[in-house]
Amino acid sequence: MVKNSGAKSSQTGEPATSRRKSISDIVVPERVTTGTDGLDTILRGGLLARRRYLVRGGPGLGKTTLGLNFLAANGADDSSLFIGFQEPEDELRANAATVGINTDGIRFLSLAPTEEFFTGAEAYDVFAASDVEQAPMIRAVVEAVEATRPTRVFIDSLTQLRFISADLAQFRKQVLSFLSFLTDRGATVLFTSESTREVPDDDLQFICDGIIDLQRAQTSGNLTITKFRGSGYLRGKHQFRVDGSGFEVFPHILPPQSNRNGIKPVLLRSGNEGLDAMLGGGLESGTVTLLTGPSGIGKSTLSGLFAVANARAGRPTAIYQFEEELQGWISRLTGLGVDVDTPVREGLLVLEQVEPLRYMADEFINSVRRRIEEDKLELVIIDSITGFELTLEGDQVLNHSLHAFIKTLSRLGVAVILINQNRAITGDVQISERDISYIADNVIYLRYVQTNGGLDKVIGVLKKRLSDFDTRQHQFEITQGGIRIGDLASKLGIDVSVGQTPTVEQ
Amino acid sequence: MSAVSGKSILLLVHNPGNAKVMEAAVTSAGMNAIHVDSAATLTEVLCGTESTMAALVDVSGFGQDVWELCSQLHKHRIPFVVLSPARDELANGRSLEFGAASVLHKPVAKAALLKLLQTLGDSGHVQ
Repeated sequence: MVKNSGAKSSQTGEPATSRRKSISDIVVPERVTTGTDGLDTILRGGLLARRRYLVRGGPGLGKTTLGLNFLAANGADDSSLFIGFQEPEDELRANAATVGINTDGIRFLSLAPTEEFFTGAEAYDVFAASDVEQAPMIRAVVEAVEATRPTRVFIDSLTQLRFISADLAQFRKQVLSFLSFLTDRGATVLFTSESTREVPDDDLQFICDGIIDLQRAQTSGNLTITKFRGSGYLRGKHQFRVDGSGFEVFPHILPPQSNRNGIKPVLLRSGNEGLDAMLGGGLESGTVTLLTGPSGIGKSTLSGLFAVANARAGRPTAIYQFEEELQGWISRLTGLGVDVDTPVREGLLVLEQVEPLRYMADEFINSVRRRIEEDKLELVIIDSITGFELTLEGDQVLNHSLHAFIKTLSRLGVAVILINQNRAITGDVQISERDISYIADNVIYLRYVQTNGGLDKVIGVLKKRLSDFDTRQHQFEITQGGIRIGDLASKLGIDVSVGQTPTVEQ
Repeated sequence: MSAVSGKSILLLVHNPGNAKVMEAAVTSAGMNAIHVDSAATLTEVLCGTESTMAALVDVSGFGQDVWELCSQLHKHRIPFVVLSPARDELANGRSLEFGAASVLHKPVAKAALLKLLQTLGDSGHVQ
């Protein structure tokens, strides 16, 4: 055997084996949009052109809608082809219209059986389906592809081909050949599968270049990319929904890398000298503050004062109100003589009532992040954590969502105030019944104390990472004009060392 | 298939869907297909001038009448193959009693069936 180790490249004269590709030789693959912004983000810019991708998922999860979005992204240039084995064209067009997808530029090839098949004229059992239906199907597909010259093809679903193939080996060969036929002609192909316990789709998963997996979650859907040859992508579960706006995905964005090293934080003041003094001057930008206390003690009012003070100082602020009606909250502050209207009118204070089940967690987080970028928010208040959990379709990933969300805001340099309600009315200070205090840089607690047969309100700072702070508790009042920080709690005769010691739960 | 070109195959089939796909298969192999779905039609065809080389009998849908049809084919010395549902042991036995050359269980492989028809035609049992 003669080894050709001395072979020369015909172009360079260099030994062929020694030539390595330089950066400039590497061709950046062309991307095509999926027609769904969030999915493009997850795929780091879209699908790679002229490849084949599998969309998996159970019935009713939105596979067809995702495919229609993909085809409609071509616009009206008539180079998108839908190959369907299940629904007739008019039904597909009508369904697309209900979710706002314009199908004008899509050509449909419906290979679904007509009603005659059932009514007796076409049902047969003498030959296997592979003997009867394969050839006409191939002919129809070839004709449609030659006529359309599609750049995008969606096949719904390729599993149907399994039923008209003689055996598994034939099916695999036919699928490979079919997909190559489409990609060789310039098409990017999306196809669905119907995987069951009896007929799994593992073979299709090996064949494709990427897999978009749709799963049903508690009250929404989760999308996961489990394979994407030739590209990076955002890993993990991303929530999606199918509604009147079509198929929407909300990327589960990981917090950005912190790039604020060396940047001196800006102090955000409360507008109240006494409180600012307790806080060592105020709250620093990029920090997370847990404002905790029992019901009715004034947490929302206090956070509102922070919000208005900063908005009026020219720092864009947003409050996401999950529990109380906004109008009631505004009236309460207005009743204290706090001008909420002006900063709202000037666009420096954004108030949003978050309705139950309106958002999914990832959707909400994406929306806040977008607003931070657009409105240059410097302070975000979440009122409250309990509302966040209950409203955003709570599930097992929510704690992770909250953590990622808070970290994201913090690393973007936004100051965050999280309002937390605890159950204890009096007695030992509770920071939170949830295991969330670890994410807070600062903890401000409000509590009731019993004095002379009555209840007084006390405020204290338990933790502040970036500055010194007043460790003592002060009596406070919500009063005309805002908050009044009063005497030290010790002067009220409260023995903070006996049964009143602030504790942080593990 | 050229050896049997121009010869006719009788398709004794009740199910229209089966008749349609069998007709298409026979025609695509270069043979003529004559569809028969009753005893009267069969009699008419057998009395005609059409040259018949073989017959396929799909037992489904005819009930007990199918054996009379088989009997007629046998009487006219037309070789025929019976197509029966799998596990229909009764049909298997009776088909052979009435002179079937073979009994095949549905679904059958199209290529194998066409090959069998060619063999039957070549064996010289032509009317």
